[in-house]
Amino acid sequence: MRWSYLFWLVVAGVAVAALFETKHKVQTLEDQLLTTERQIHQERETIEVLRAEWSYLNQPSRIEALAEKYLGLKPMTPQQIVSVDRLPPRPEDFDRVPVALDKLLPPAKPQQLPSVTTVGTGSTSVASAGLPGGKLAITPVSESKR
Amino acid sequence: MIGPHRKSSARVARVTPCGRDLGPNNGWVVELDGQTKTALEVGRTRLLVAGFVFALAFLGVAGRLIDLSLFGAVGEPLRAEAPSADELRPTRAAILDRNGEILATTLPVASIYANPHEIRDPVLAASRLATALPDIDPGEIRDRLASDRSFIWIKRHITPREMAAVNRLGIPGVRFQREETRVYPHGSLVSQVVGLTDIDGHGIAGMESAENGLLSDGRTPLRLSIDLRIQYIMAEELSAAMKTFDGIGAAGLVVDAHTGEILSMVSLPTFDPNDPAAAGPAARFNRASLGVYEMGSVFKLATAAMALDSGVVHLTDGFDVTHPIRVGRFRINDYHPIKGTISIPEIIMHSSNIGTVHMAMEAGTDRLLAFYGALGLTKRLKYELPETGEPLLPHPWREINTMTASYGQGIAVTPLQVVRATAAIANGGELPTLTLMHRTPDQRGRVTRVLTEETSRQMRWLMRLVVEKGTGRKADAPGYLVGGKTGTADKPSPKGGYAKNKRIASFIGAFPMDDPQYVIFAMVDEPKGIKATYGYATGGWVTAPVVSRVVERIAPLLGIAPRRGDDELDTERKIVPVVYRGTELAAR
Repeated sequence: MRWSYLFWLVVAGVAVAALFETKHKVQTLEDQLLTTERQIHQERETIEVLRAEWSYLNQPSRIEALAEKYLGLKPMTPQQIVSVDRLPPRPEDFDRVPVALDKLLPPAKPQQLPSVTTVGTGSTSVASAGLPGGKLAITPVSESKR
Repeated sequence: MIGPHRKSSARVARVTPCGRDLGPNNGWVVELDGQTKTALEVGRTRLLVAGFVFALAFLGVAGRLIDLSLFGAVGEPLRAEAPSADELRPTRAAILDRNGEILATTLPVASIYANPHEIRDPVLAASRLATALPDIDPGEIRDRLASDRSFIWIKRHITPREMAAVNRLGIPGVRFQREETRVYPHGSLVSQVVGLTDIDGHGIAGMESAENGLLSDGRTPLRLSIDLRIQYIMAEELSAAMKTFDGIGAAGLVVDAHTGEILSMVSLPTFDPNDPAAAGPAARFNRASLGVYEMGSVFKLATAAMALDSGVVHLTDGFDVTHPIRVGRFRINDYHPIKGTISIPEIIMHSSNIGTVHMAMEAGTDRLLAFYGALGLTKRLKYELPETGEPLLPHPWREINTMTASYGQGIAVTPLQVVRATAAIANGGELPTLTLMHRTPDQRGRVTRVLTEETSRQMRWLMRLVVEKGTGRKADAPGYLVGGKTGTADKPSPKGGYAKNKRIASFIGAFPMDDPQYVIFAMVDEPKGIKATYGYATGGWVTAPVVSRVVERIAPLLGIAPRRGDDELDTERKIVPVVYRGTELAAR
């Protein structure tokens, strides 16, 4: 009888200790969680502030002034954009095939110009004519005639 | 608790002393005689009742334990501490342009306040604060710090940099108060579109007001159709023109002809939404959307489209424009009088009022009104912004009103309505639904067919003709095939009739004309002629060059490839060959 009391007493003691330990751990974790959440909140706010700052620094007028000062770029003119199918054949092909240049060029058709990618803001845009899938690459005339 | 009962029941024999069989489960009851029996039975009943009550209580505790351990998470607060009021309130969502550039956002800001009772040396504190905050008046702050109050604001809404500087001073009694404020990084550039919020963060103008619900509870930012770069280019060119011609205001629009997205909406003068108190009513007024103006000759496009679409007039028809038209006391003149009979393309090209009136009268008032109605010119335009102007139409509508309305006088509409109508005329005949929200090409919104594709094709050619050879030559941007129509309207005088030297100069255009993608509009209010334009302040001199420069700058941004020389284009241009008196224009 005594032993069983003692046994249950020990069990109760262990249970109490375990409970205390667990509760303590939970509390610590909760504190950590709270701190982390606060930090996340603060970081988010900081990100938001920095985003606004970035947007502010990206004002087109500012970019334009900076580009004028440092880059020396100018707005692109239509003359600077050419589609690949309008390029003349390579010089080495001239000797092989003595055909008039205008016959080598494809007949004028609705112009499917390669996509124009633009970089920059405002007047300082740079465009480059890309090769969509290489479709517009010139087939050397010599090869097609052979 | 139940133990003793079991023990007592174990002692009870299954057969009573009298030999009665109590049965297997009846061991609980022990029959005794007299007082003892009563006392015992009372005791047992009490024990039974008490045991039952305790059993119930323990069951309850066990149930609650199970509930807590298994389902305990439900409905429990996740945090040990209740979140503060600031964190509970959702932050107002940001407004972005179509490329994700922030146009409006809500930022936490600090404000500095002080408790003068805790400040020991107000003079020193004030001078030190002035080193961190250069724009405050140290004398004033010193007086207030020396006052007998327990709370004074030192500066509201300081920057993080200022906050760090003040923090570094470490003056006791100086504290920070956390607040939130709406920030517009691009200031006056998009203020008419984005709008404003009041001190409590409720939208009171522009998109802030139109989408207030979405912005105040949503975490998703609002993405507009506005392209900041195009907005900037339009604003820059317009304000340059406004300055050159000493105008009192200007408006500019760039709209996707197919999706109806508004890429740029400029109204000058404008205001800085970060400092709304400084803005006068003129600066807050959205001329592009709220202002109604008699637009003048840009309406001739609508009249011509109506006449051609209804079939009463063909491109090859001509009218005699030698004599002014007289109706009662009215007299309709041409700005540059022409003698003889001219064709429809020539009427549009030279912007002949007389010829346009003839066209309109040929079709009749009913057709004209119905067509203007179909183009959305007679009713208030509905789109996101609350600031839309109600068109002004004559009441009652007489024949003379049909005549003047055909060339854009006596009927006042908003620039946005003109742009929408022109989009339909140029894009193949479908009236788009305008929007300030970002759309993808497949989200076109509701479109209504208002004229045939054939008429639209003819109108494209006419619009290109105006820029190639007519009044709008200065709008041309090499390679981008700008087409359009100039407009120079007399402004109504407050005394009645029209003011002599007050005009609205405008240009409505589209590009590229072989397949119009964008509609562009520019308008300057009350431009004055200058030497360089030989005293002219017409649409062709004031706003057509604006359109030319804007198109040249924005076309590369919009991914529109320039066309090569016109000789190559002519083979593919969708035009209607017109032969009229063997003139050059008619020969294609």
